[in-house]
Amino acid sequence: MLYSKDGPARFISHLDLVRTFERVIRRADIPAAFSMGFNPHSIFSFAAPLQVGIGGESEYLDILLKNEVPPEELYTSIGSVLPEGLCLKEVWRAPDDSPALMSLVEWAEYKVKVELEKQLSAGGLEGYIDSFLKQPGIVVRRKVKKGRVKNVDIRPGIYDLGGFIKDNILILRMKLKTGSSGSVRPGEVLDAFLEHNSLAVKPVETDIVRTGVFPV
Amino acid sequence: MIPGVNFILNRVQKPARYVGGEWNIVRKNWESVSVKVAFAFPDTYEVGMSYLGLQILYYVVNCRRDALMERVFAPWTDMEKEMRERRIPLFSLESQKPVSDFDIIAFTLQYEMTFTNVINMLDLAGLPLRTGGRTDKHPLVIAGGPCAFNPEPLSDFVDLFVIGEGEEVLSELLDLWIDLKGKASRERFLVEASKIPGVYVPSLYEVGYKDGKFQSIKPLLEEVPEAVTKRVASNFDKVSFPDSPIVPTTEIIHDRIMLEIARGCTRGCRFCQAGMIYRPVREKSPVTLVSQARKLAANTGYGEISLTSLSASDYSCITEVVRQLLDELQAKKTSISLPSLRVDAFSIELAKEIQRTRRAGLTFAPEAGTQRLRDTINKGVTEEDLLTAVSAAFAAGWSALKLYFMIGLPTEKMDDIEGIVLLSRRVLEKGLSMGVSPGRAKVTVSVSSFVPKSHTPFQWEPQAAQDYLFSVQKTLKKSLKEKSLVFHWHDPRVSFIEAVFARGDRQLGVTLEKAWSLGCRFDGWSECFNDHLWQKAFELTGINPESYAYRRYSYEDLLPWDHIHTGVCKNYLIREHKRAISGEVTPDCRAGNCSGCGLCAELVTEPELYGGKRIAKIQDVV
Repeated sequence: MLYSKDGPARFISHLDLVRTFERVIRRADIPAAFSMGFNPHSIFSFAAPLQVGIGGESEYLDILLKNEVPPEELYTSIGSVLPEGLCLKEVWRAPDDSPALMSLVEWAEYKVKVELEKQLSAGGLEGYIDSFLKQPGIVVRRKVKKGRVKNVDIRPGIYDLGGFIKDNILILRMKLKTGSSGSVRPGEVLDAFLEHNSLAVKPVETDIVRTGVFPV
Repeated sequence: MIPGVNFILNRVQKPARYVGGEWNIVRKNWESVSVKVAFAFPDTYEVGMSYLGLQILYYVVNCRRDALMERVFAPWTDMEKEMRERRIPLFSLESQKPVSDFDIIAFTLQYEMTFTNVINMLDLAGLPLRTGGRTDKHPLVIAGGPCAFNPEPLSDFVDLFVIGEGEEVLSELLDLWIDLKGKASRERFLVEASKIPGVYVPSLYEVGYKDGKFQSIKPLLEEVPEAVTKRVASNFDKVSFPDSPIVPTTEIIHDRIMLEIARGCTRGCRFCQAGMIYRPVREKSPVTLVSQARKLAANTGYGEISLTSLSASDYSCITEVVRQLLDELQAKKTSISLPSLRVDAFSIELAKEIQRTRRAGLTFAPEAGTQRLRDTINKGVTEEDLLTAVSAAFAAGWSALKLYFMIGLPTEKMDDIEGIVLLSRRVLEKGLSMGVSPGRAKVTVSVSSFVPKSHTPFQWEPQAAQDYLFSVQKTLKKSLKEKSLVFHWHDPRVSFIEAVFARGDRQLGVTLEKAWSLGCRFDGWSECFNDHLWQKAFELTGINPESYAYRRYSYEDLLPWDHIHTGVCKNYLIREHKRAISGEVTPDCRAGNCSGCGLCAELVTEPELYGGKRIAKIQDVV
């Protein structure tokens, strides 16, 4: 299924989203397949976890069923029991031999909107992006487990960066490495970009939306 | 929507606490209702959403077409900082409106250590902290819950207290509010409200002190009642119960369906306030429970249902209900759990039947280490009961058990402390002798400090001195050295503050406000509790906390909560206190003999039990 995640649902963490869909599937009363064992749970998987606070326009999830149900029926039964901010867009039957969604995802596209302290010209922005991407490496500090911090070069994971500017609203589009072999986070790219070009932002909401996840 | 909220949500831990939007929330058009209530829980979202009373009152109010209720919780310290920096007022989750825009702010008081959060939430809402500073344009601040049974420490800040079960009285209050809206002043409304049974308006009473000690409390007006008696929801089987409760999207403490199977407990443990204030014991019928469980499972999507009550295995037809529920819920792969188990083999049988895994561990509460002390506190558990129960648990496959004790109980001696050690060891040895592998066997010994509570037979007793409690903890820690015995304890300094407020009076209002202004928040959380600030607050306000926590009252003293009636008569409490000192037990009235607590006569009610049980008519009302 394809769904979007916005509004209050933006703030559901990945772990909580797993719990949420577990309950959605029970409420939808669909013939979901359950795992064996003492604590049976329904079997479903996401294409790629989404960070808390980031919206998702096109998120994928597959659910294993015991028997075939017409997608239109599933669309109604699942679509009517989602909490606010989760919105079902499409349901279809995946081929039985389709690989795990997670293993397919290679990159994701994000749209990032920030309000700059000062106005910036379109030409100026181009120069900033060029200069940012021309760096041989972009090292960010990333929190890893147990409060430790690790330096990571995110430059190889930035596949594309573009954007435009209107007054002092800056919109960046990013294509970033995403998937089981590591991901680059849009917030990291934004912060590094702003820092590299000494751009200051207003203390208002930074809006980040993942517009899609893609295979190679 | 309040500007800036989304910005700060991206800067705080667990932002899901503050956004709402969960499944089954009710969001009404503000223009379409006559009265708007904010339910305020003075602790985190995860704690507040685990409280069944919230779900019940949310349902009761939102069922009315003329009223709405939204929720607000105490913002964690990081969120508070962000809110204050950006001048964002306390807001509700459903429609993100400032709490000050509501007509009524309704707090629930579950624990004394949330009192500074009540004040903090009023401040964040932009309300004058003290009732006297509020005008007609301010919301009415009301409060209920167990701590409202001794309302005095908060009476400077709360306009009106609801004593007892809120299901009916809250609706009566809303009716009155709508009736008088725009017609009567705040003062007039409060006087009229005080005539509703179960409503206590502290500003309408004058308190007298002698040498700094509470002496008297009298209504200021003739029309105001001298005492307020708690409310009890009648016909419990048919009481309003939400079959579509809110399902949080973020994990909460009790993250499962809570099906209330019974209310009240008549075991009569002498330290237990809940056992006194929630009388009479009332059960829901098996038919009602099965039907509610079915709807709850379908409407929430939870995979687990917890049968809640003060003592689940005391429910008359528990085996029958559990069996029916298992049949009903099996197809849905929904499991059942029992949070409160009695210490006996029957309870283990029950747990064995329903718990698919043994991972969760089982908790038993012998409360005291020797038979003498268990008799004193009227905990009707013998060492044999406990060993039978733990044997059954080990035999059924559990390897980790938890034992819960209290220290500092009235009449406690060193051999009672040694008793805790011996009993814990005996439980461990039992497991080992039954073949539980030494690597897996684990007995957790959890020890808290006794806090004397109002309306209990121990309300006259002092709390044990902190030095003593610390030394007992040290002794226990030293003695419980075995690798398989894990010792947990509560901070006696927290229990001390709890004791001050549990039996406090109105003079503590200034201390509370001072503690809040010095920075006390979330005092029940060890990472937030700051004893130094509390000591400073007492010093600066000239209050000696020991004169509250360590005070021994005499039967003749007027107690600061004597004008609040639970229906249990004082003579019964005195009798129970005397029996405690002489080590006599009083049986549960469920067994058939009325123990003369006076409640049924006082409140014109009676226990509601299923399975043909009856309680002998009261002969002994004092």
